[in-house]
Amino acid sequence: MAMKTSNEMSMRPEVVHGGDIDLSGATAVLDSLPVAVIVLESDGTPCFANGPARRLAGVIHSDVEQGLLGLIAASPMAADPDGPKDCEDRFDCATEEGRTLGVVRQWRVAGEYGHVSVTLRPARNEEREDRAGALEGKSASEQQSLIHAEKLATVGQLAAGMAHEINNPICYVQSNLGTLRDYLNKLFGILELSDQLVRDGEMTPQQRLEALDMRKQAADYQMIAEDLPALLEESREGVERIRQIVQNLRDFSRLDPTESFRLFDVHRAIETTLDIVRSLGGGRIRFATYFQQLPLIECNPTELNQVLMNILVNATQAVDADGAIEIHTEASGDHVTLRISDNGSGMDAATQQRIFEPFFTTKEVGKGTGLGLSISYGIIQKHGGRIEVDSVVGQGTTFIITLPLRQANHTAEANT
Amino acid sequence: MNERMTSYSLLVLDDEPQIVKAMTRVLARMPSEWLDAPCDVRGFSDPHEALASLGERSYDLVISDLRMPLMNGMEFLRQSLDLQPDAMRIVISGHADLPTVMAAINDVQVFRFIDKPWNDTELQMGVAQALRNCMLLRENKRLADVVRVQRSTISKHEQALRDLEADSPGITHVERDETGAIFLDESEFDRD
Ligand SMILES: Nc1ncnc2c1ncn2[C@@H]1O[C@H](COP(=O)(O)OP(=O)(O)OP(=O)(O)O)[C@@H](O)[C@H]1O
Ligand SMILES: [Mg+2]
Repeated sequence: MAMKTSNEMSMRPEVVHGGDIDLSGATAVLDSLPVAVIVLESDGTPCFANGPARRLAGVIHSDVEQGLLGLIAASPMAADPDGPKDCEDRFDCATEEGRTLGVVRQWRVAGEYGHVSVTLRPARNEEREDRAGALEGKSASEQQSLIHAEKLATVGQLAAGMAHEINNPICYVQSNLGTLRDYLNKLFGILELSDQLVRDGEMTPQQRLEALDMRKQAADYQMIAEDLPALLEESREGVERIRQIVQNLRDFSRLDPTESFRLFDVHRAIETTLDIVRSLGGGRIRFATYFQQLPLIECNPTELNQVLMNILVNATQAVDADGAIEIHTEASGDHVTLRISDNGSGMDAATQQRIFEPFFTTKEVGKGTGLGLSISYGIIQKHGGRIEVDSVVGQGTTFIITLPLRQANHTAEANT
Repeated sequence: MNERMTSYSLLVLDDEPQIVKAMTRVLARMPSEWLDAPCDVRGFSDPHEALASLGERSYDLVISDLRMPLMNGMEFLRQSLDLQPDAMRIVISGHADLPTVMAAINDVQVFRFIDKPWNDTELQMGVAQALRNCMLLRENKRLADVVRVQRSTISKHEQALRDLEADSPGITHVERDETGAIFLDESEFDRD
């Protein structure tokens, strides 16, 4: 192996108090992050690097300390980029409203290690922003953890939309429960009164009726009787909505590496994913599905969900106000074809060439990791299928996924 | 404070119909100690329909969500301010950031912000206060009008008398061609 994993792992990174940043207590957290973080002194020298950063440094240089310096060279604070050898190096400034957010750097390392990417951002230290810089990077070491990290990122992006989506039903279910208590108090009041009236030997039936009617009127009995079924139905439906959202999220975020290939309904995967994506796009995007009769296909359902999710999230991000996303399915011979089209921004030929590369993204820092499509590509490959793109700038994009009905080297456990 | 009041007229707007209904229920069971008349609530989930209704009938209070797919809540409130400047406005929202809150208070004179999910009692209290405030403002306005009318009447009399006296001193008891009629009328009026 090109990297010195065992070596670095045993070496506890030393904590130095860089400028005003107090890292005591934070190192364990930083080490457990899936991204590389390097904290710099104000002069640009590293004062702390977490485990992933050290592993990443080991990839670009045989000497970890030298590697760290190489990584930092991309920082806007250090002028002389002593870039790593025998790897492709690209970097871009990410800006927001004219301000530089940081530098996005991509290396493509020759050999088994694959691809790495680094995102550099000046560290935001409350009072003195200029005192230190933090460097984050990602290394594509283990495909499995990478897939999970990417999934969590997407789930994170979805979280804001989800919170809004869950908040609405919570609002009215909670409020309706308050109303229900009020209604019940009034109804019990009527019940108590009628109890007393029945036991009262002195009143005539006419007097009893009148007393009861008066009480009923005062307690809005008629209104309550009419509203109660609606109140219960709406609340039940609200709880069902929350349950559905949570269920979808769970289905999606569960990564079960032991989950094997099995016979699965592609349409069900599409519906589950669409439910989640719809909440992300709010009410503004029109989704349409054109499903043909499909046989069950042998696949890993969690992974298939993830592919659909990545493509659909990209599509929602590519469309604007009058966005429309269509999904067509069809079966022919020994395979099925899914077409996912949007009428969004589209891509030029150069972009199309690179979209399946890991870490290729045109989105701003923090918004896209550039992993979505490369992971999707890997998954479809693993399934013995194909994923292709067809896109016209300004008109839209179609992703075409072809999947075989059966896997050559797996036997399905024939459960659905 | 106002004996003619039979019910308060409220408009509730939220893109989620179930939320409109839940809020309507809460307002319908407003404790009678807090408000001297029941709330007559009209609920809408379409901002355009709500605006149409604002153009047709008078409201005491407008309650609106901020985030709606068909129209921004701030835009709706701005238009409601144009249509019914005397109505109170309450925002009910799950995600109001500081700039939005400031714009709501400064530009569209929002009386209160209520968080989503709301607390029923807080909602009832906020609405009761808004409505009492609305009535107070209306009463103030009415009284100010009365005072203004009275003042202008008084000053009209004084001016007429002064003009006349300046023109011809002692004339207040003499009948003359043109001004005489007005003078006599007004002195009679004056005694009321
Ligand atoms: N439907 C689409 N329309 C236009 N461009 C697209 C579309 N799908 C993907 N792209 C382009 O392909 C790039 C790579 O997509 P990919 O899903 O791999 O990463 P990302 O969306 O940028 O980041 P992430 O998926 O991690 O949020 C995008 O940045 C975008 O430029
Ligand atoms: Mg993506």
